[in-house]
Amino acid sequence: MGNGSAAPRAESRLDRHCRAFIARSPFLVMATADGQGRCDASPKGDGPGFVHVLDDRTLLIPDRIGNNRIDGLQNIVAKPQVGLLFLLPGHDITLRISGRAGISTDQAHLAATAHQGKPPRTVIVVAVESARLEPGQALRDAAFWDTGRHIAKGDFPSLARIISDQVAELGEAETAERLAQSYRDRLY
Amino acid sequence: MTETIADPAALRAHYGSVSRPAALKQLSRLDQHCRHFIARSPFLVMATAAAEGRCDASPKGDGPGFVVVQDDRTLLIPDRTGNNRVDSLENIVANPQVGLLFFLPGYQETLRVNGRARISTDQALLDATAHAGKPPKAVIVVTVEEAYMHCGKALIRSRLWDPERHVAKGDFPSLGRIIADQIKEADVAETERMIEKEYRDELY
Repeated sequence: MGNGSAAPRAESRLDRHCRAFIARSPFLVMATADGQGRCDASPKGDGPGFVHVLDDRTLLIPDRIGNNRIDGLQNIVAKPQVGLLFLLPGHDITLRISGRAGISTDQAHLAATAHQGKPPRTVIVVAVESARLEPGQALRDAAFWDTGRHIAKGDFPSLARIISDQVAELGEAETAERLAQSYRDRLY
Repeated sequence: MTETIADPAALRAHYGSVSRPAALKQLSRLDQHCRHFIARSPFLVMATAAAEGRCDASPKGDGPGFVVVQDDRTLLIPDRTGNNRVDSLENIVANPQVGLLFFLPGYQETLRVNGRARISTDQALLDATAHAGKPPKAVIVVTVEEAYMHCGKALIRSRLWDPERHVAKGDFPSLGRIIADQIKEADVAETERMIEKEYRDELY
């Protein structure tokens, strides 16, 4: 470390602390790149422990319903390297993992990551190459978990309002209705 | 893996077509809502890739609006390299393309901005992103190629902003404890190696 600050070192396998972190984490951001090097940062989230630790070098990330843009998955098909950043709500420590991914529809992988009996559409299988717990200065500086600093409902335009401003033919009320339905009925 | 999807056509067939609003709302420059989102956002994750393809997801955070919108196609991200590793900067030098995911704590949708980045030490740009009179070490200048609001399903499923879901302080060890454990485990492993060596080499 350049400035002498202590940080855990990177491990090539998931030690018990990394596994404990993943078991409690409900959210990560996945970095991928396509064949031309164009990068994508994609959010993945579900209940705590939604990413399954198959063994100390293998993760199963369920891919549930999104907007079907599947940029991240298309990138994995083109180029298997991924970078993952796991978050632990209420803590500034983050877990950064890099590895190689494949997209699986293996029944055992789907079953291992099912939610209330509903399997994901695919499973991203990550072979871990390096894992590191980090101090999380950025989350601390951002006061990310400080609910007193969170924006209140109505303090920022709704997505329906934004979409209706961006896409002339979509009305705000109709879009709000469609979004609410999607967020209610199409989460799993 | 017995069932692996390894080509783009099979992947698209498995998922079906892009849902309509998702396909429509992509922008090639930052509109008023994107600019407003960035002005309020204290945190983003930056995806970069090294020339050989290794990817990195790097957190950046500070007070709301720490990323400066210079114009509707240009962002200035201060790099305050405290204990940050420089992986992502090295990646940008090797491959300028970046993917950004901005968060607005308390809000369920995120903003995605993809573009090309360069690292600048231009004094005007350092001044533009100074915090409490202190300029950053460098500025990541991003030329926006696409921007779009991302649906909130991942944040809704994870209940990311719900304080009831915060993991209790005592439910995960401190970094100090983790480092101590790693050192201890390394010591044990090293000691075992030495013992093994003694048994092998110094029995007679």
